[in-house]
Amino acid sequence: MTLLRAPLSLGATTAILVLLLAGCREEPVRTYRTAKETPPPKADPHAGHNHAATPATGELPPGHPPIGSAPAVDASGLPPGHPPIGAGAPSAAPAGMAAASAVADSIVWAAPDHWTAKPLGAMRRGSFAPRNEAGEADLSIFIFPAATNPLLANINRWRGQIGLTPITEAQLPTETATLEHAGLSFTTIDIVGQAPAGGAATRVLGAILYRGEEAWFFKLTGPDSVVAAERSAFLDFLRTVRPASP
Amino acid sequence: MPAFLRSLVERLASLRLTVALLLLAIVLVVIATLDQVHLGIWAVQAKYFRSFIVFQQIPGAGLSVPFFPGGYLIGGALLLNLLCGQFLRFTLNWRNTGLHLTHFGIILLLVGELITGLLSVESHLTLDTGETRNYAENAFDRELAIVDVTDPEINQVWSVPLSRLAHREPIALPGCPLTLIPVRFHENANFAMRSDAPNAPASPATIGFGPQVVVQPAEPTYRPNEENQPTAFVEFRGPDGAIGTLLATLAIEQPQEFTAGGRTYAVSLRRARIYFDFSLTLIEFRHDKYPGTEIPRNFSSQVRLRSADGKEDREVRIFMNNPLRHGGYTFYQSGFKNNDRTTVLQVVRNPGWLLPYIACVMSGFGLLYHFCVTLVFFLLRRNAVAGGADPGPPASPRPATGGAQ
Repeated sequence: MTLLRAPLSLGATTAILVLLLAGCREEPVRTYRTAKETPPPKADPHAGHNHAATPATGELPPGHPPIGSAPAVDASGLPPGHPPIGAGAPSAAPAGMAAASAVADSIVWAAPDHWTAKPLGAMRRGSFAPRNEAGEADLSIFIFPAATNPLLANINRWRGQIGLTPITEAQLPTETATLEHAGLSFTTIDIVGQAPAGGAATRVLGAILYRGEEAWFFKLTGPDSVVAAERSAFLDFLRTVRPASP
Repeated sequence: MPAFLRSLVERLASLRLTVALLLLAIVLVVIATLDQVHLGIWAVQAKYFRSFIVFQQIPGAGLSVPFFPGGYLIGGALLLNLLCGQFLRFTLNWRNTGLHLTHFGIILLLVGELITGLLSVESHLTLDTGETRNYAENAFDRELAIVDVTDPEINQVWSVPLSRLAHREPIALPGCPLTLIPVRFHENANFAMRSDAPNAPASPATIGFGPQVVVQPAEPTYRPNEENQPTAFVEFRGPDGAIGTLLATLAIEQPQEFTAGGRTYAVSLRRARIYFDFSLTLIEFRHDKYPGTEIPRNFSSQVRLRSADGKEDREVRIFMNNPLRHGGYTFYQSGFKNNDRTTVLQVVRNPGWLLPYIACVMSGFGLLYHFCVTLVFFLLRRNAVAGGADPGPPASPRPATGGAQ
């Protein structure tokens, strides 16, 4: 028995060691050289951004305050062109992003002619710069999982971004409106506050659409006078939203 | 053949081993199917089927231990079992040709799956109208990219796999004076602006926009319509000492730049890139509908394909069931976004894509041949019995390779 056990235990030990060593193998760092990328010619990467306010690299210097007063820049302090991240509080942030690139959008829309299409970035499903005589605003379209993005938390997130206090569930009916079109039901808000950095009057026109497991966010934000002038265009824009297929 | 070698081959060719392996395969499929609730289909494939050993984490201990043989081990053992069976029992006999063909078809199927599992890559190429790209983004893998952007023409890229960021061991970049020291890593995270959460703990980040962002670790998600936001705090050190700690996350696409030793580096955590020696430009994406309805009739992408050496420059139309095959890659029309201005192409590279077809044809033909031979012998014997003659050979020849394999 001893003679039989010895090779067996030796074999088992060797096998386990080999497996453990195989599990410890480090993935190497890859290196390669590539030509510099060229941006798409149609999109205007400078649209809607105040380049005087940010370095050419797109990075804020350490300790730089968020850019809130520049037109069409979300009060996020993020580089130009980048969508806002997170929520008013960590717990209210989207728990995950809908798989962005592998699936088609389930809704389509038609933007007014005077809204300039902007580069999408990683998370935006739609991105426009509405312009009028008063200046320029930013319209973003996002999709997140509906299960982790309740209505009240997101309304309060938008309110918090312009310095407004949170509302309660009971206040929702009075603070929001409903727009129904093409079988879709949008919850809309129209709020005015102040940009955290500059204190300029900032307006948010927002609409949230729950569709199955998807939550779609349409947000027009910018200087109060610009957004107020675009209010009817925004509502007309929402009326163009429809399912991509029946 | 030496006796011990023959004994080993006989053991490996054992039918009992075949049955045991098939039972293990069944159990593996059941366990993996049950775990799919927690991990989703892709993670389950990687953990259970495209691995030699299934490791299971001990709750609370932070330690993974071998738990069950993985798909590669069971499939590899089945392959060995089949090859040994063929080696021992192979006799060149026209009556057994069908069985041999069938078994070789199965061998090819197993080898094909191994090649697919090891070498196939699935990625996506997203193109805005007018945009040109020469790379696709891996559907599953992420990388920390450190790009030396100093040269006006060429970028030098160091791609660090995320598995290296989970440990606090310094990472040297070959040919680069920088050293990375992972400080914190989260498979998934939520984010808030510090202005929205002023009481949050201070960020480990000291450079870039990390100090302005509050990171809250989150449980990894495996739902098919969600995506994890891997996030890392990484300290950079140069020859002169520490440069700073930077927040890199998939949630922030914009690379963050810093300068060290007269070179400018851009850092981002992004989907791992697969570069081609050609580029594609989206000329037009079409979303055709049946007249008077919103019912989609066709999705297609008109692209311009240009090789890096300038020898090829042509337009191609990619639409449903009509992919572009070029350079070992297949580009399928997969999706669209941005109000029909952006196309999404699924890019698949699978050197073994033809093997399953060949294997199925071989096995099918082998079974058909064997059936015909058996039928002919059966009819001959029946006619012989009816005529009172010698019944001849048995109707069903004994399998030459162990049958159940």
